[in-house]
Amino acid sequence: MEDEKIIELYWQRQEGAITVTEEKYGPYCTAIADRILHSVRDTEECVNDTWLAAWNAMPPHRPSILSAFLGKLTRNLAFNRYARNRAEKRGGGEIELVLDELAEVVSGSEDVQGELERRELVREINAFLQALDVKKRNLFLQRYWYAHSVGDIAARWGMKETTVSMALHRLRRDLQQHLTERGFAL
Amino acid sequence: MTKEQLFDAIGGAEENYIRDAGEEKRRKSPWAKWAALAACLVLVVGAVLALELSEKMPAQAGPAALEYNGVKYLQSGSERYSTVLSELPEGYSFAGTMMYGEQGERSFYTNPEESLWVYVYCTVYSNNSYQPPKMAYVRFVDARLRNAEMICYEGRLYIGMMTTNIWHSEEADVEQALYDALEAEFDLAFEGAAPEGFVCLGEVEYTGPDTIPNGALAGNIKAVVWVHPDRPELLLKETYSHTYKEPGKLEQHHEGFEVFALYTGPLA
Repeated sequence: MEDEKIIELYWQRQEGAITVTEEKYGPYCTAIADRILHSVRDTEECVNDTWLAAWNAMPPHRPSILSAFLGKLTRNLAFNRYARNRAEKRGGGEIELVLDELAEVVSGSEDVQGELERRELVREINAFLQALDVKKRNLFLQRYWYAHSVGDIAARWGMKETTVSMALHRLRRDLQQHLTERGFAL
Repeated sequence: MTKEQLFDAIGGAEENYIRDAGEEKRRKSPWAKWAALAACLVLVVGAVLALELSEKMPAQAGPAALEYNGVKYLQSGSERYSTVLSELPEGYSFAGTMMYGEQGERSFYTNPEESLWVYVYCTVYSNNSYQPPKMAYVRFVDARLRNAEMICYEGRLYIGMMTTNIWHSEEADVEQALYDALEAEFDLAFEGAAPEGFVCLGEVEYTGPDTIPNGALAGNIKAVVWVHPDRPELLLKETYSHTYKEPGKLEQHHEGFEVFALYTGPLA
C-alpha cells in the first residue's frame, strides 16, 4: 500500500493502519532497533512501541516521508531503552562502538542541554550533512544514524573496512570542526 | 556534551537524508556504463516529458544549486570562512537572480575571469550560534570541482580516489580502467609504510578550497605527497587510518596513505 494511503488510515483512526505499517516497515524498523538493542525481546517490544507512538502521533502529524518518520521513532525509542538497559548493565552490540567513535567528537562533560540548545545542535548537524556530498552523507548516516557495522557499510559500498573507517574518521573530525566553529561547547 | 547527546541529536537528521542513506547503494559494475548507454536511447524519448514534470516536483535535497552558462554550481562544501564573505570580491558583478530555498529569490554575481566560482548574496548563520543571521556573499563552485581533493605535480593534475565523481556521474574525472587498476592494487587508501619505490616530495603549496591547483607541487588540500618516478598515473598522500580489531575495542591508529589518480576530467 502506498504511504499516503497508510497515513490516511491513521488519520481516519482505522486500526488496520498498524497492520499495514507493520507489514511494510516491520523489517526496516526491526533492523534499526536490533542494531541498537542487540536483543530479540527488546527489539520486538521497541518496534511495538513504535507502532503505538505512530498511532499517537498521527494525527495531528502528517509525515512527508513515512519510512524516515517511523525510523526516527524507532531509533529514539530504542536508544532510550538502550540507556535504561545500560544503567542495568545489560545491552551491548554495535551501538557501543558507534558511541565510542562519537566520543572522539565531544568532551563527555555532563552539561545540561536544554531543548533550545538541542534544536540548534540538530540544525547545525543538518547544515553539516547538507554540505557533504551524497556519498559521504550516506556513509555518515549509515554509521551514526542507522548504526550499521563498518563491515556492513564496506560490503554495501564495495570498499575495504579500513577505507570506510578512514572516511568516518575524517567525517567525525569535520563534524567536530563544524560544531566548534559555530560556538558549540563540545 | 556527551556522546549520547550527540547520538541523540544526529537522530534529528532530515528525513530525506535518512531515507537516502537507508536505501541500498551499491557500486556501479563495469556493465553499468554500457547499460546506461543503452538506457540513454530510451531516456531521450522521455526527456521532454521529464522536463515538464520537473517543474512540478519538490526541490531536490542537498546543497543549493545554480545553473549559469550551462555550468552547474553548488554551494561550496568547504567549511572555511573564505567561502563566506561580507564584501563582494573584486571582479565580480551582478549576473542575475536565483531561487535559494526558503530564502526565495537571491542575486548572484559572476566574474568573467573566474568561471569556477559564483557568489550568491543570501542570509547566513553566524559561526557563533548566539549571533543573529546576516547577509553575506556565499561561494558557489563548479559542481565538478566541489569537494574534489586535487594535487598538481609537474603540470599533471591528480584527484583523490575518495573524492572522484566516478561513482555518481557519467562525466568521470578518472579513466575507469585506471580507477579499477589502482583500486585493485591499493584500494582507495591503505595502511602502513609507502610501497617500495615511492619517495616523499614534501608538503604541497596550499592553493585553498575550491581551487584547481597549479604549480610544481601544489594542492587544494594540505598534504604531504609521495611519488614513484616510474608511475606518473598516481600519487600518494600521507594520512591516518583507523581500524577495529574486535568488537568493543577502541580504534587503533596507523599511518597510511590515500591514493590520488591522474585526473582526466573536464577541468584539467
